[in-house]
Amino acid sequence: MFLDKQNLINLIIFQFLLITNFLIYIFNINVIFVIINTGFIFILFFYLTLFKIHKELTYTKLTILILSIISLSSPLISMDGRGIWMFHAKRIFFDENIYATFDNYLGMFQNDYPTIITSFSASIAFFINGWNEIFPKFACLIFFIPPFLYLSLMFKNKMKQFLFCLMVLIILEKKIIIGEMDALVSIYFLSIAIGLTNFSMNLSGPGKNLINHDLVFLFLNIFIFSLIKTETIGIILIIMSLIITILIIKKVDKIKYLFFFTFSILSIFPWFFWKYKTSQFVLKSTSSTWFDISLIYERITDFSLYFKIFHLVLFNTHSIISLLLFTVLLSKIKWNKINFLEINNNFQKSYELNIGLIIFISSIFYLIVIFFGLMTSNFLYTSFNETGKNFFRYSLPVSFALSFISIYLFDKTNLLYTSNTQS
Amino acid sequence: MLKNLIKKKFVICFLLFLYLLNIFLIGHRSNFNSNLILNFYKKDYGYEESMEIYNRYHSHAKDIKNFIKKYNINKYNIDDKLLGDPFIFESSYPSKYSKNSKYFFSKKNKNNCALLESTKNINLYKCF
Repeated sequence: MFLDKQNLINLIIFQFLLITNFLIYIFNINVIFVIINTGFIFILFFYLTLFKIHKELTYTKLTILILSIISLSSPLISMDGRGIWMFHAKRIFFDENIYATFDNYLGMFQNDYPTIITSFSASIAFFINGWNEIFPKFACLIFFIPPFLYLSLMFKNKMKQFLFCLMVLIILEKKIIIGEMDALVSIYFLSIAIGLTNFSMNLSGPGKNLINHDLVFLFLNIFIFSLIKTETIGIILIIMSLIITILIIKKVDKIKYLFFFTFSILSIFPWFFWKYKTSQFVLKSTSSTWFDISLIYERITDFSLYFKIFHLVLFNTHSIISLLLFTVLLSKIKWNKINFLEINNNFQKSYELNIGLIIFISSIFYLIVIFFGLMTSNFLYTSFNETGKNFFRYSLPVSFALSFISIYLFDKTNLLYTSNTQS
Repeated sequence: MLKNLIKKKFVICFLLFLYLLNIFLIGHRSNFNSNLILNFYKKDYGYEESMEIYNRYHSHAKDIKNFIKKYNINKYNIDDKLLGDPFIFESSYPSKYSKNSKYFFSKKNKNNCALLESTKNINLYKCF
């Protein structure tokens, strides 16, 4: 465990309340409980950001406060924010039902999307006793806070914390506050990759207590992440398969495999539940236009498509900034001193090296999946000219993750050639 | 020593400047409006400001929303050409689109229906 217990408990309570909000709707409990729960969430929000806890996180708390002010002073201008996410929230609010979108009223609104975030937007509307176009989108920022604080707490150095906040502002930019989910997907991807790395380190270490606060926080993170978008399950499976491979390399006990497998199934159960619910209604799946395998034979040899996809996914501000930061990290490495024996030795013990490796490899796999997804997508051909800008979002988690490891590992490149003493 | 200190201070000032610049950029790109912070908790607030950037091509959505409120319409029908505009449906909710509704919105004239009201963007008809 790299965070102190009290910090983690605060974050666990915060996420637990956010999940409770969703569960209140699922179990169709009276709306008064929604309002009470929302009240508690806002109290905890003020407690975490304004009061003297997490004293070491001055810059992070300041960033959250500034983003809160901008969010509450800006209208709902994003097209996806209005047409998909906040419209789902509006429907939940007016119909008082979390499955309001399942009547498939106008298929263009992607009615099969999970509603953990939008149900909290609806709760905010219940809290102020009416719908408006400003406050409900604040739900995105509220969900952003736990992983943001968690990742900030990993930086013990104030300068690095500040750089991380700056990176969040530059890369995720307005996407945090405009009612879209891309920023949430990026930060939860990173936080889950780090949580699972931590878990795998615990599993491969001898005789450690496996059920701890980190594991609870990770479970709640995966619970939320699997219900942000239907596609997020792909990211979770990529990271989990990578962890399994690492556990195989490290030759851990069969019981520990079983423990990891059980944990994985339990944590993605909410996704299965949502899929089961959507299958009971005639809903057009959002991802139905992806992975049309019959198209792969005719498109795999179309090399012009490769360049188009690379251009659409990678030629944007956040990708270029993250590649620049990653280049700075690479330039810090003294390549002639690299010692593979030390790397192998440090890989068994060093938390930082494991984080770097897992984030880097899962980012590569994520890009490969996106590449084949776009290649075998029907809608890609038709929307090249009209909505080219929207493809930028697919590489956002990768840009964010690469920038994070660039800052995090900036002064730890010596792990590649010197012996690591920390466990 | 002094040179290093100046160098360090310069880097800190530059990063701080970059931080502030990004805050302003986010505020600008999300249409920051200081009037909204005093009213963010009020019912039905912010619609006009949210639709400001879409008014050029979707101003009919605002008119439809206003008509729906004025005539207390629960279900409405619209011209086929307007069916692809998501702003109409999300703005007018909880009123829903229904092919069988007697209230009909169109940009063109509609025969066999009585014109209830019109703006330069949209006409509201009541069909029998």
